[in-house]
Amino acid sequence: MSKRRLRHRDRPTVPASGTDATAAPSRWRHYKRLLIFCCVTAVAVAIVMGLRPPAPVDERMDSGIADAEKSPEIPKPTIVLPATPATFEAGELRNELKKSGQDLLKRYPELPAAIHAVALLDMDLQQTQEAVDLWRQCIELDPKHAGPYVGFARAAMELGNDEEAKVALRKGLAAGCSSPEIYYELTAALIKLSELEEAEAVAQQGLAAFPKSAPNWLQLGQVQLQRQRFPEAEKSLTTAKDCGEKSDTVYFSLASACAAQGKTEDAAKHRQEFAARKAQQSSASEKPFQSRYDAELRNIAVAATGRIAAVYERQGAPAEAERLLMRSMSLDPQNPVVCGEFVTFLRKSGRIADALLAQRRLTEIEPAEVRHYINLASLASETGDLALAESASKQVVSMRPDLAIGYVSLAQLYFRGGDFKQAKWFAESALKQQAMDRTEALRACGVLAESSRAMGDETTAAQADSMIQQLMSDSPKP
Amino acid sequence: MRISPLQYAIFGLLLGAAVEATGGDAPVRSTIRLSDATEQSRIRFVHSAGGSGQKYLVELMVAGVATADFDGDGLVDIYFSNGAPLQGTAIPSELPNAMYRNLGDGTFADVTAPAGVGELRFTLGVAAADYDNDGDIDLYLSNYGRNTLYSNNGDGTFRDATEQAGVGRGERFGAGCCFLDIDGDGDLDLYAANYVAFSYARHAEVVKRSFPYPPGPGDYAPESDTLLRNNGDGTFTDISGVSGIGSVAGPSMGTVCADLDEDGDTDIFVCNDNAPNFFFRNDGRGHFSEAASEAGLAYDFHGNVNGGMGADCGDFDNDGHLDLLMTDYTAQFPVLYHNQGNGTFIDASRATGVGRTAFPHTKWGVGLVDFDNDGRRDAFIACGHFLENIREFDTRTSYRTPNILLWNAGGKKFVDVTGQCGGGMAVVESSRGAAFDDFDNDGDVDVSILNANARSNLLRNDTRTTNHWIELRLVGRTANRDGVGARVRVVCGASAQVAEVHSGRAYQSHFGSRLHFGLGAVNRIDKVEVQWLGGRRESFSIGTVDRCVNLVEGNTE
Repeated sequence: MSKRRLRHRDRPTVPASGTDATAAPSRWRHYKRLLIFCCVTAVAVAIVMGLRPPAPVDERMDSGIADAEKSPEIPKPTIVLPATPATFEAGELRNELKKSGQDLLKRYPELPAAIHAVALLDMDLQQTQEAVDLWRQCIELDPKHAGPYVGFARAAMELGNDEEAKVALRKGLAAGCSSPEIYYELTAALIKLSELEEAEAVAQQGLAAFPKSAPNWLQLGQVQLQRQRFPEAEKSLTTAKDCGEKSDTVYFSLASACAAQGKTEDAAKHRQEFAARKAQQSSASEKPFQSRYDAELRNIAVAATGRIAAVYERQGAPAEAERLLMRSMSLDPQNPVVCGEFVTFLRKSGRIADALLAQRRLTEIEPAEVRHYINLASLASETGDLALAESASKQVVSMRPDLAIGYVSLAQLYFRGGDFKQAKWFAESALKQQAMDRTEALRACGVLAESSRAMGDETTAAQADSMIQQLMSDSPKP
Repeated sequence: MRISPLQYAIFGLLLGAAVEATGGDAPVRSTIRLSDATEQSRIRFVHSAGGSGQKYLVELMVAGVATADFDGDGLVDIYFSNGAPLQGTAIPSELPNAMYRNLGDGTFADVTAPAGVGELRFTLGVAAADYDNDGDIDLYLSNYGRNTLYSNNGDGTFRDATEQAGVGRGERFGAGCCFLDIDGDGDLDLYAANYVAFSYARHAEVVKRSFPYPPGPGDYAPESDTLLRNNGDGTFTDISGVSGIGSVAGPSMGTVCADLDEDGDTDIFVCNDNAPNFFFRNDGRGHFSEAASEAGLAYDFHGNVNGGMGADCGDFDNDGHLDLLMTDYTAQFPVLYHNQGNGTFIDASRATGVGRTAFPHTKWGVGLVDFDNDGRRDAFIACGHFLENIREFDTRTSYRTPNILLWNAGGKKFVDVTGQCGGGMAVVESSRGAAFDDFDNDGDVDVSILNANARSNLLRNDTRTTNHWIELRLVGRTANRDGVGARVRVVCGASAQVAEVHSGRAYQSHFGSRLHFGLGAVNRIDKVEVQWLGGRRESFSIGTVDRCVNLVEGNTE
């Protein structure tokens, strides 16, 4: 198979992934489309990556890309993010929240998502009966979604109406709704009704459908504990822990199950873990008097406003969504969840410069979260702020040198800036990492091939091409 | 407040419907009947919480009631705690506690003044026992401010022996209190729980989710409790530190002392308000280690803390081990700590359904008492929120709430029979402390209830049953005179019941010095075994039933 060199001047903006000399132009377009796809999907992939505190930066990373390619004019953000939390009077904030809910229902009186969001708000504000009524309406409008059944049941049980909760959840299951939560709440209702045999059966059914659901395993263990079947309880609770259950309850229940079996050492170990977790909670809630309750209301407001904003956004009302998200941000400018939602909203709205601003805030809020730097690099690259993209990517490499994505981003940036030596080195470094998905591998190979060629290293380029072919042949067509 | 017959009928129907609707249990027709005998009793005591209107924490946490035979005439009398004017109060007069003497004809007489027990401090908890072993029952009051010890002179009068005994324990915010013999030396020591470091200066209304609330226990520093050792000469020594009691601090409320780990000495269980409970395990020599977490008594079923109010101690399933039923705050299950017999407990509230209907309410007084003499201990829970305007922001409950009676169905389940139990259960007040004793000596247990800022109630047990019973009064010789801490086992054929004599229990109250056992159809007792504190174990031949019997240590004939 002969090869055709892709000349530097032919280089696309995004580094090419393959240079098969025999490939027809249509094949090349195919690769190009693939790479565009890869770049887009890489953003999503990056979001779920892990983290680690910053580590020493390789000396190779000291050089900058900004000198190699002067950035075009970078668009300016159109928003100003609040820096300090807005003060509020509790009664006024509560009224504001209630009005937000009322406005949403006025605008979308028949929309289940809107009703659900307001029901959640009512629940948070301890207007439990109002929440029950809304969820009842929600279920009538859309009986196929589990969420309203779950919400209804939780609210009903909060009011002490366990039987009503049970009936509703059974109805939800009969209507074909299935989620770990619906089984969980049904089991909870049955436990409260002291129908433990039935509770265990439902918990088992839920686990048959959702075998990895840690809360459901925990609950099964608790039912078995109540039924004094201690070895089974211990087994279920251990499975809950293995499935990722991190609540203190699992350790408490495990301690109970072990103690009842005379396993005093195991019980002590679980109790110790439980106590450690409890101690963390209590130290967080030691602020006395009003500050504690204000903080609670602020958290409720932030979460509820974000949920209502999401409904507006999905209904094509971005202005209202943005207003609410901004309000949410103003109440808690350091809240990573709200800030993340705002970034997503702005990005979806195509306001990349604004999204970049919010993303920078996110890195300030959670400086140890590597995924924030990955997103920052991506957004910076989109806005043309290559210097920022470079520094963010270096931060990713510094924090998680085992992740390929940081090297890949840097390789692409250097290639884009014409620094082929650096591009090649980072591409090679990327390919050495274990934590690399196929998209990143393709991008790294593409940069490696092209930068090698640009430097006259045909051997390496050919090897990279071969790797691309291998990757392509191993995978479904994009 | 009294509800009309029509309201009661509707209430009863609704509750009956609820029992039907729950589906978990077959409908139960209870034979228990509690009549409201307040008017006939001539008990006119009206409680006041100090009336400041400021919702100071002190006035929200009221208060206990004690029932005991203070004058030694074989009839159980009643002592009511009362508040005191708080800072800024508009109440012009003093608010003394009150003692009502049982006249034996269904009526009571206010003997507060002649008895000299009209404490004017703000009383929250009360315990009664013969601390000086002189043959009469004394009174200890846990106050906001200095505590008070009333020593019974044996002639219907009492004297304030606080200073002499050294049991005032400073100006603190008291809660439950108990007499117990920590080291089995034959005299009764004192446990006095302390709530939090309240001060008027620190009081400030808070807004929770925009609703105005008074500050809760979490807004003040918790206090450690006080343990006072009886020196045997009428004086006490504060051993809170050396005993290990002072090693932890919590917002303590109701306390009950019993041999929960069954090692022959008396342990201490303390309900904490929105904090893990305490279980002080006794080493037999009066040294305690806090082991609630290890014993499974610190938290509820989910590992959550509760707003623990009071706890009663009794063997609900007749497995020979003493269990604990703890009342708590709104939207919390009462916690039934089921004794596993190996020093550990598991919350069986879900398994037994105890208090499911009590879930929405704030729960205080509690008794594990056999109301129908069927040999199983039923449960009585006194309810009522502490905020008069609670319904403005929580419609699940109300300031005045019906009390709850749970019938014990075979030791496995509790069934709410409140609506079936007569006019006594139709009284709706904001109840707090409750005490359970046989006031009319007719062989069934009656109820005395202290209602916050309202008149107290006396509920007479008018249950019609052919079931038998026995009531046992213990008299110690080398053990303490009241037999506090002694464990009694009543054996009838293959079945047996256990109970222990407590002094101070439930929600900051005292009752049950005379042990009551319902026997069902059993009309003869094979034997009564008594394990006295100090080590002596005796077996008494009782034989016939349906009577009150004195069991004197060393006199088994």
